[in-house]
Amino acid sequence: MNKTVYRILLMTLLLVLIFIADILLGSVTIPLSDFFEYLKGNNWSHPSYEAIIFEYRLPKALTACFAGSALAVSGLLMQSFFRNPLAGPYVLGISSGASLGVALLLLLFSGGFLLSVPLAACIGSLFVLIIMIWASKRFRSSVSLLILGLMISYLTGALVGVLQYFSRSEEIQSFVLWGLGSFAKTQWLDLQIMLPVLVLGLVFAYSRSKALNSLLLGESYAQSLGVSVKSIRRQLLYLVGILVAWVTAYCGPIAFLGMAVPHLVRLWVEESDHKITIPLVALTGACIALLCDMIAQAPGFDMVLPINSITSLFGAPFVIYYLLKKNRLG
Amino acid sequence: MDKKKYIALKEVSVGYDGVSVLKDISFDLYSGELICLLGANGKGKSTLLKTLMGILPRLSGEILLKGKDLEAFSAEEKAKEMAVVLTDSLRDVTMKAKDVVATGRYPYLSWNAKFKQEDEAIIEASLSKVGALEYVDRWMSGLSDGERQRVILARALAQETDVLLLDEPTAFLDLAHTMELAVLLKKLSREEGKSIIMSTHDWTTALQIADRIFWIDETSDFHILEAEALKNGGKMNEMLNSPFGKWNSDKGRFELLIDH
Repeated sequence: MNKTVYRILLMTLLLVLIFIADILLGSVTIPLSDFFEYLKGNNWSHPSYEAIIFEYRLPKALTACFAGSALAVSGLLMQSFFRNPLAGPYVLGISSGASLGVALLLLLFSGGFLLSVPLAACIGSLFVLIIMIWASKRFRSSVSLLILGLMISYLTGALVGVLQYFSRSEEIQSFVLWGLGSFAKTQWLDLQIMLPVLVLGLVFAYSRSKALNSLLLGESYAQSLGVSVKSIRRQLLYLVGILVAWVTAYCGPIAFLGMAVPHLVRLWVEESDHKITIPLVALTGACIALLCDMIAQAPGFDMVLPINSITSLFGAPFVIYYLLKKNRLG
Repeated sequence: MDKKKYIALKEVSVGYDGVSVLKDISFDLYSGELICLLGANGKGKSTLLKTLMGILPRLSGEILLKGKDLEAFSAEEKAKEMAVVLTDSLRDVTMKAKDVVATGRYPYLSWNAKFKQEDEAIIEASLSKVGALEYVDRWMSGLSDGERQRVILARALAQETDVLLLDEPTAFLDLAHTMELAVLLKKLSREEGKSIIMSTHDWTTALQIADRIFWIDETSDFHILEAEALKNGGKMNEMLNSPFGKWNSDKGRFELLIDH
């Protein structure tokens, strides 16, 4: 247990360092000395720095942290639940489901009220999740499930394409921008809705550790150990659906992060107990999301790259590597 | 040791989706009793075991566990009375051997699964009973079939239940490991008074360790047979139902009819 506490502290420290780097770097680089002066109660060396940090970079960094945690933990939950190492919100089409929900809302009804985007995303992601759970009982192989996820992504993509064809150009633009993914679109007001939901979700996931460990042995064993499989299945369905939808609604679809981070953590700690892996996956997910955000904001250049492309650039080769490694092992 | 009645079945029918595979089964299972369940594939051995485990609902009849209706047990209460070994080899489970065995303590722990010293001791004792202490830190995927089966049995033992249900536990095992498991199960029933039902295809082992044999014949009739009486009678040939082998009652084994 000591080792786990030490690892959690290490990751927390790393997270704090990356977090500070993330709010200082960007098209305008703020010197580290300014940051320390500010902590001591002095003013920033340039008056615009305060606004850059508090109005723009701090909400963005917080969004990246919690979105990264939520996606990574969703990935872990899905991998345990499906007993499939390739499961993840993006790979299995859950993010695409959320996209479809948002597309229907943005393109057919041109936006809406405060919570309409997250709710539309929830309906979309839960819809796909239910299909995947149904499918996972019928075909056992990882690859079939993966292909189904891919097909669902194509299908939702096609439906979105049809919707776009009949939409006005402003609506299309707002949807396309959303689809590129960004941690930067959240204001403080959005964070007030987004963060509590994600934090509650993460805490709830941690509280299910024991049942999740049992589920690693399969549903029949879990049942023989006193887990009510029906109820835990329903709980995980809603939990993953809401976590992924909430992130997708505010940040757009973020590729591969949810699938890859649990593997990184398992490679590092060699543990399967969810009481250990959930906190570590959450912290690592936050770190990776912040790192991707740092790359996306291209320090020193006057531009911002779409976050979804950055995570794909790293995530897709990772999946290929994993498949190759798995093939070698038989 | 006084014999206690752990399980009682009264005219139970089992099956899937309302279609019965086995009908009107009645038997009592006592403490310290080892039972082998035999019969051709697809005749309902697993279905019966899953129904006893409470994983599958029974179609009709009454199943009592320690005098109380099985369905009146919560999943957690049941987990303290009955442990199982399923046919799943757990090869692809991303867990270490120790964590697999540790799940056996879960029915006794609250939501945060915090192990007490007592739990750690039971986990270690279970591992040592099956001779798997040295694998604790190895991944399930890195163990051989025989090693994995020991870990899976240790998991069931860590649950500290009076009843043990095993579905073809020797299916993946070579002869040496099959014998090891058979001896261990016999010891568990004799020395610890556990009542054990295991399904198997292995008549030779079954006749040596079982107190009674439950046999499902070709027409799905359920027979309860005393192992001792079986060894001498001509019933064995009827049960084998194959022109390629014959029961030799002097040697107590099936022999191949090679010149057939």
